[in-house]
Amino acid sequence: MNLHESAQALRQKAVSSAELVSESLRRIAALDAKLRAFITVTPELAEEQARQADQERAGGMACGPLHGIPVAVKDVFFTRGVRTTCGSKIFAGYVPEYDSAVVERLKAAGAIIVGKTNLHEFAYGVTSTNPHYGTVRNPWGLDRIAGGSSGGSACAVAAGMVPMAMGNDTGGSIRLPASFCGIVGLKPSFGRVSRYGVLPLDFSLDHMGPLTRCVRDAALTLGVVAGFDPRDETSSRQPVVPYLPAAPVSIRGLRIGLPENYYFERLNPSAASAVRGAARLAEQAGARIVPLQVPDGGQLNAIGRIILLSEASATMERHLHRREDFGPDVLALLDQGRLIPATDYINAQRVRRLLQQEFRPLWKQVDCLLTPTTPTGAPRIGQATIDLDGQEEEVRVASTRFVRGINVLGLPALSLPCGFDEEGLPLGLQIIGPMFQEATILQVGAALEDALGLTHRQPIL
Amino acid sequence: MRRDWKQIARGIAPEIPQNELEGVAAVLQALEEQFAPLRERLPYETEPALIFPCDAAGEELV
Repeated sequence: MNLHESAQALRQKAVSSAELVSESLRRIAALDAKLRAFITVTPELAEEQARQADQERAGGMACGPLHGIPVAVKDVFFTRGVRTTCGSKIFAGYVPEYDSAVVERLKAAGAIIVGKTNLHEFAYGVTSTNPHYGTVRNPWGLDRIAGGSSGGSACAVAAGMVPMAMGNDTGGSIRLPASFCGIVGLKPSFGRVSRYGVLPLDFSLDHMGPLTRCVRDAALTLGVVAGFDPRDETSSRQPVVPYLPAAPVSIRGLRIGLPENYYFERLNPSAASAVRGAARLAEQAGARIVPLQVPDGGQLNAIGRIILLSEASATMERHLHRREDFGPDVLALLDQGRLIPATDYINAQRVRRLLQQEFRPLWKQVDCLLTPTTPTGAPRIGQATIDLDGQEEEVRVASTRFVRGINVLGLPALSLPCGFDEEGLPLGLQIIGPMFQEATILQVGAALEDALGLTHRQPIL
Repeated sequence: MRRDWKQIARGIAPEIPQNELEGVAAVLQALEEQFAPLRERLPYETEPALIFPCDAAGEELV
């Protein structure tokens, strides 16, 4: 069951919270030895909280929107009394004394956290091939990566272990694994969801958001976790609005931009065709498809990489005397970041402002943009490069090509499944909106999800 | 101006092992080739996208 179905079944007393949590824990126990979606599972705590939730509901207590529903959080969200490894050996024994803002809000809404999900070490990579906690496998193909860095969260949702898992996204780390695992991933606007209590990878690029089975579940979760938090200096005072799309959802009259440049270059033809097919469905539903030129995504990516390399190394430098405790790929990135001169970092932040200014007029022409999330389906575990149009690219660079730049701009973006490639692997489309227009991209996402009719397709495990 | 990444690496501690430096320098060189033209076209008056949060600092001083 997804989040909405679980909430409805609980309200109708068709199921108890204890039963939902028990089923979640049973599925984790049955599947996680091969999928490695979790680093820590907390069965006793979850079962106790489920009993309490059932008592509260039976006692007529007002229940939050996630009351009694099992969920998971990526192991970068601090959880009071439960270890938070950040997917690293460095933090292997770290037990926070406080909850992150996201965990506080999930608990206040009644959610029951069954565990902490696996990730790329320090959320710094796209494969979730973690040298310390095992390789997260893709439920659609066990020889494939789940994507990253929120690979465990994506895998747990796709495999039906939990209906929702939180992730964070610095250069695509929610949308990319959502795309590879055939689920929904939402990166809200910068400042929309508090970063308090999450180990920072990059102060100016980190975003927190949900991974779910359907768009409406992402909207429901955003309504729970969004809002101003004075403990996060970048938290926005922009009001939280209703995010749940109306039923029935309509996109009649909305202007959806379809980029003619960059986003449809060097990608698997099946990925391009799936996104163009979704655009046709949007048009049939009454939206206006607007072909247009967008500012160069390659420039955004270059800027994003310089900022990320610099800020991540600034955060992690204190641990670099323990070189043997890092995986080789993360260590290489941290070394690259240490060599970038301060002048390059500052100039990258200046170019960032220029590119933000170049992008802004786009929103006078369209209400949102439609692009592929990734150029291909999930690569094989251990695969180093992808060959597209005769050009070989590193998996990390190719997979983040359409998503990284959106973090540089801080814009909200949603990934949802839009088809399958020739090998039966899921493909995702990305809907990008203006700042704080999450409601619009969720509205378009829900309409496309209904039209595509793919949510019933689940991996066979 | 072309940066010499290996020379820059000689000045940092803890040091990057020689066998890993080759790969690190190659990645940075490729990134530099993308970034240099952007850096060159920057107008002098363009401020960084990050600014000091003077409101919050002011609140603390009150």
